[in-house]
Amino acid sequence: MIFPRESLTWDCYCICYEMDVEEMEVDGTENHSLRNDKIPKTLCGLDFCFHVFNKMYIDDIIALEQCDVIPGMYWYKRHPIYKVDIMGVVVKRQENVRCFIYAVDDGTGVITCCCWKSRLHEQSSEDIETTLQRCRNLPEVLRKKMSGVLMSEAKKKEGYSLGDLVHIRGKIKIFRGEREVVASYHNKLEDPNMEIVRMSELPVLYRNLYDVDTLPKKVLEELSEMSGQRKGICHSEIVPELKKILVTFIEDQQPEEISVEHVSKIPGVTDLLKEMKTSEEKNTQIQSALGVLEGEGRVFTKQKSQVYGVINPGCSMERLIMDILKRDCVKEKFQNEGCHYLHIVDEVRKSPDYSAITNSCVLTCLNNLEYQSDVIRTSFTKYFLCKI
Amino acid sequence: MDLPKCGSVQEISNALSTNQGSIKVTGRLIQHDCINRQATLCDPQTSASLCVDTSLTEPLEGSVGSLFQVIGEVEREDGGDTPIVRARIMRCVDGMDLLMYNLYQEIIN
Repeated sequence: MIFPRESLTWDCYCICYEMDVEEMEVDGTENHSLRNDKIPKTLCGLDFCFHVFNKMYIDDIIALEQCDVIPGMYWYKRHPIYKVDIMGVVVKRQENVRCFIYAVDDGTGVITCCCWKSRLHEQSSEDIETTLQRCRNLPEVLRKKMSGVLMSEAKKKEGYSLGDLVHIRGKIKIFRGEREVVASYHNKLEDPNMEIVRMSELPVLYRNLYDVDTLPKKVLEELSEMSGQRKGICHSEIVPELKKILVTFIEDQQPEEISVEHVSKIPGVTDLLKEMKTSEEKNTQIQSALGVLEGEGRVFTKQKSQVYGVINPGCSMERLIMDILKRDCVKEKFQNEGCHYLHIVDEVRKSPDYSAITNSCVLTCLNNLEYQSDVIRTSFTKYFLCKI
Repeated sequence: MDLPKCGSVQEISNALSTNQGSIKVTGRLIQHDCINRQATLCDPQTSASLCVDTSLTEPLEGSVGSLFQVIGEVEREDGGDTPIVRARIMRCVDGMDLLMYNLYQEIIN
């Protein structure tokens, strides 16, 4: 963990003075055309606000919109936020057995912060004096260091008092209906100018980071077009949904073949794709879903482009594979261990119906045959007939 | 948990004209009466002064002549002219650069 500097150096002062006043004004005019759409859940990780402790005004933290898709996530405009960094004055202090609860005020708002107590402090109840007595034998320098460390530990144990300037970093949580920051790092700042440093950083951050979109404008426009009016499902999520519907359809009905038109008539699919205006768009979505299934080995393309054959238990390819195995397992080469599955794939591809079949389709078929106890898998890659 | 209201940052000259609410002012302590629990804060630039009621914040760390930041509620006496701040927090900010503080405060507002 990188701890922030506590003492202001001369360089910091110079930077503050050099900043132009006009440059620091927060830009009020924003592009409101894309305001309504949020980044889809899968792309949240691209935004760096997701990964860092965000320095923000407390009233903005209180006004953050909660994200329904990801628990613990909040939205500031289009940025996903869940960790914050605040600096303010302690205005209320409450000590519990396990933690301290402070109310921190930075001039824009007040928020509660929960600082957990260190477990070590509970256990060691020794006085500073007795500890120092035990370290009598150490050299002078180390003894001084030891007493310094013990003093600071004792101070930490007491917690902060009203009016202290504190720097807190932590996650936003909701406790008993109210938003609070659960501190993972907290420290008291002795130098009051740190408040001024923070005041100088925040408008720049807001102007350059929070009020600006992370993704380029074109990408955002595409995303908003794809999702359309509907909330929740965006382009990247349609294809997996389609795939699920197709899989359930195949398992229920077990058709021999399936075509794109056929798919578009399935009730679940029509609901999913009703937002799409042209049938071309619908067809491309269906074809991408079928392509995913082909990669997994559930369907294969037949000679006509729009029709896909389905690999079901009892399909015609099984008979073909059984014939190949019956023919080859009696040969000397394959008598001991059986046929390698790639050899079976080559033989299957020799027949005109299955010339472009994928490896995964043949494997699915072989697995189905194994379930039916017609073939046996002798090794990782070799198959043998059960009865010749 | 009942949170105290947020103190909005203001200059002493503005504070003199606000009616009510929680504010946060920074100024130099000119006078401090422990017994009557009264103090007077003065703005170094405009030399406007403000009365502060320190009943909740006695004893004060720091002495007359230091810079203090006060968070509290503005109340008006019966007369209606002189506002008095009931301080909840008095914080000694010796060493703070008031010029920069006021500059950034203007920008934020």
